[in-house]
Amino acid sequence: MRKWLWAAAVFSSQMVHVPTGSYPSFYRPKPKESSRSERKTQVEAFSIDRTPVTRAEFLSFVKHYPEWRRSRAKSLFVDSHYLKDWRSDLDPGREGRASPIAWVSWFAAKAYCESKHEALPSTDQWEYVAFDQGRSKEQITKEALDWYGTPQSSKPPPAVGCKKPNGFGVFDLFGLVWEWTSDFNSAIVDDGESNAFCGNASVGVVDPSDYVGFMRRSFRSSLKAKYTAGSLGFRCVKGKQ
Amino acid sequence: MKTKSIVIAVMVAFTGVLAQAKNSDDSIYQLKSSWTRQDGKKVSLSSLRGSFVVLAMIYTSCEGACPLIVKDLKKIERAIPAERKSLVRFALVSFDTERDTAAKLKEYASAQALDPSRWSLYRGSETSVRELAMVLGLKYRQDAGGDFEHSNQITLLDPDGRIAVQLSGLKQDPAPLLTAIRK
Repeated sequence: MRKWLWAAAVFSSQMVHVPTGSYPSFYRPKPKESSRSERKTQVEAFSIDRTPVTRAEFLSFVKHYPEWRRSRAKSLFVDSHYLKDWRSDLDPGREGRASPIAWVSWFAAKAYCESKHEALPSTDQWEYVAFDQGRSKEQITKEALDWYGTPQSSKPPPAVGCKKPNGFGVFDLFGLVWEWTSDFNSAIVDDGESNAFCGNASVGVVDPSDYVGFMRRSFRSSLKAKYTAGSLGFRCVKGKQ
Repeated sequence: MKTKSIVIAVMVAFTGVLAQAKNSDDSIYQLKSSWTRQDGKKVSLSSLRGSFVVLAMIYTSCEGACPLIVKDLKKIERAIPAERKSLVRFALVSFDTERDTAAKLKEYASAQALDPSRWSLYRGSETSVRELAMVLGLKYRQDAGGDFEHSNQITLLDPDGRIAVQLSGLKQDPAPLLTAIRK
């Protein structure tokens, strides 16, 4: 019975196929890099979860992987707020089962995806999907800005999949939770001369007016892999990393 | 009433401490990743358990900061008192999963005159490298030309694999690290 439920949960979180393509690079190439790579970052085809992983799905995961229950997860991998809005190890509460899971660390998110033979999206994959081949670019920027500017409430965010999907058929990239990426720690290199942020301002980036892009990079760069937050969840991908 | 609430507060605090102690395991030797050493042997990082480990992440074709990191490490090696030297190992882990083969690492070790009894160099999968960087709190990215931008960081692991001291940046004063080894 349990196995069946788990399979059903996995089935319900369908993935969509994202074709090979490119999106405008955030970082400017260095002089010695080939000019071909300029301004565009190539991304190979992959599949991605339609929606962020939900609380119900994460509950199935911790049932099957006890080492990721709140009382057992090790301090190398999670901070002291891990799953703090759950009532107990196996009780996320009645409300918000279809809401995105939050208060999970990068390690826990990675373990969840790996348990399904999947992985966290790379930052390039996530940004490529969010750029959506330039479709409704202004709308996206506006949505992102509106949401980034909204103060967080302490309750779980609304349910996934309620708003309109983007052109790839992917839901909720903005508006519910920020999402972990496999290489979020590539956002800034803090002591090099090619720093995109402090010191030499926006010298290293292609489009200094990409304000929401800056916000996402600087949010990612503020994270550590064991951190958890009430507005930080994830989704998984399948295919080349 | 007051006493009662104090008792409860103490109990709650105590349970908190217990709960924390149960989960408290910061050893990076919990990572299950597998690595290949410069001698071609497959090992886990926990093979370093029991020694102090001075660890840095580099790549061998790096012309900028990496030679300086290795220079800093050698300086630390020279500064360790003779009677403590046998307790310390040096580990270099490569970012460059493609180009840094075991043979390449071996070549680098001999070019840099690293004492093989004390120094080990490791290569691993992209996932393993990323995960290790995550537990060390180290940032890096590969640029389109194949080079890596990375934080310059030297970590001292205690014999149980917990981070004891981290030096961020080049040419840092190694005193805190040496003090920890002398303890």
